[in-house]
Amino acid sequence: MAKIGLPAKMENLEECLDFVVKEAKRAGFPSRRISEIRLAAEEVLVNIFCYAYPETGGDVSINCSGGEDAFVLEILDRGTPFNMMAAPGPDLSSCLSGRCVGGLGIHFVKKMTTEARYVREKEQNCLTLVFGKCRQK
Amino acid sequence: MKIHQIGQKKDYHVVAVEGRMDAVSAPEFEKSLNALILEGALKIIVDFEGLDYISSAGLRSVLITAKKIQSKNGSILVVSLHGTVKEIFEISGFSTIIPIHASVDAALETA
Repeated sequence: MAKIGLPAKMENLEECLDFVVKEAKRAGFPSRRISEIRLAAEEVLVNIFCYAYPETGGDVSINCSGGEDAFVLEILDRGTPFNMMAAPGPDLSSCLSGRCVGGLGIHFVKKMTTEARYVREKEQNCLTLVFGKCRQK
Repeated sequence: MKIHQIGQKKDYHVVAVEGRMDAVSAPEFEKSLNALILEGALKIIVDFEGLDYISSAGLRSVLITAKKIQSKNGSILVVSLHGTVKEIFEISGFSTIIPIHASVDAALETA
């Protein structure tokens, strides 16, 4: 399993995502699927960077493991307890003027993952994202 | 991400975006388009031919820009979506709220 740990700040987004992409490539995933993995990872990380540590700074850890059929991403933080997967999604039906500017990230994570699990353990938020070789439509 | 001001075609200002539009780069897109609107551009074509990746932060910037133009009775057209970017526009429902065309020429023909 490959790991990376960095301060949960927007300036570290590229480094975190480069790490995820490198590991997904190493696991032999196709480039289209790697873009989808990158997207899900970005949505989770940006959420952590913006909301997990409202007063103090903190870290984010990413663990990657890739097998023949699945790539597993574990994203951990010690911030405010938050189950992203239980948060409501956006209203996709409204027109341009009524469309609200939020909630899409969660929707993308749900769409891109084969499976997503959340646990709060040892005062950590742990989100496990499982990606099959192809997105299930 | 790179933003290229291609110039004017018919009534439209054409802007080409290249690379990745993520949480880090999206504010730059918004700023750049906002500057164009402030200069008086009310009809804009955004060419995403060179765009390989977009996240919700990127879509948010597109939406904010589109709303701004709409509030001034202008119009924004998005062209040349492909791969994951096209998929993201479809999944998000953006394909139904922002006019999308196959190319700059196709957009100009129907505009």
